[in-house]
Amino acid sequence: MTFSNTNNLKVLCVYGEGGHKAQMNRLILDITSENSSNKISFITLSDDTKTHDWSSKHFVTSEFRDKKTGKINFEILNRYRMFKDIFSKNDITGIISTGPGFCVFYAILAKVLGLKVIHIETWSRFDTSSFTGRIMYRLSDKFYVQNIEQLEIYKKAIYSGRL
Amino acid sequence: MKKLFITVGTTSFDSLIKYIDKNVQPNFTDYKFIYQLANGLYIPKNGDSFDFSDEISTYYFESDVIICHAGAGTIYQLLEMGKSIITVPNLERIDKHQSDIARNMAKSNFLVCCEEFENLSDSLKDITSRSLEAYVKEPFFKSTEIIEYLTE
Repeated sequence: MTFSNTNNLKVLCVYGEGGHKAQMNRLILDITSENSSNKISFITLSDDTKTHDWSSKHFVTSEFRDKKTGKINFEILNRYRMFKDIFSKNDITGIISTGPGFCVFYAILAKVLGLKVIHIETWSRFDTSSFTGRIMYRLSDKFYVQNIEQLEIYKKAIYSGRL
Repeated sequence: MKKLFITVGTTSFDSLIKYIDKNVQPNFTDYKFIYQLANGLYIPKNGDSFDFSDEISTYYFESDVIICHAGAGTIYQLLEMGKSIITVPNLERIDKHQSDIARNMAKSNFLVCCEEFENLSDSLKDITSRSLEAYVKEPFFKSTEIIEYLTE
């Protein structure tokens, strides 16, 4: 007996390597444990080549800003091609982002397509704001902060507790 | 022999590794020093080292004390395991944000924060006698809201 997944909602999870990946993993595991009969499947997009078991399909992109030199890696054409590839073959409802910077590009494209954009701001910020956070605060439909101190900076954010 | 594990996460932190190897290790010969270097170029002369590991939790579990970069993923994982940690913000990175979490976690006395390498030996001496607070957090509670929003 086979089950069709055509009724599944598809959500694109965008995250960078390291802590961003760790947060996305905790988030999706929490979401899937809350909603075990859910009809959402998760496609992943990251600069990390390895992904998680819960990902139905994985796409690899490049880091946006080099952590040592600060050099920005726009690669606009490559990112746009990646986006077209993902969105033309999958009926995506929305995107969830845990940062960092390259997520902004995909969030902008998602907004242009009228998709839902959810951002979980990093668990590493308390009294300071991140480059990604400042932009995603204005761009996302739902902007969550994990540390309550962040509400001083992002007045209209939603406090979510920590992953 | 006690084990001291030094971890730098995904970005190298050669200045820390070099400092510990030359200035801290000689004062603590009762510890076995093990280093996780990422893509760092400096290889410590006294102790074992490797770049990355899929089994890093094993190193965490087996260590008595851990010195770590102030990456949030590393810090939270170690605090959740109940480990005693000294965190050192990595200011070699272009963004200096690691100080934010390091200071806030130290404010709650969950760990020891060392922003100057010169204080590392004293921090290591203190940590075994010092009583740190058990880590507590308000866990993430917005999963249902996110599912509802995506499926509405």
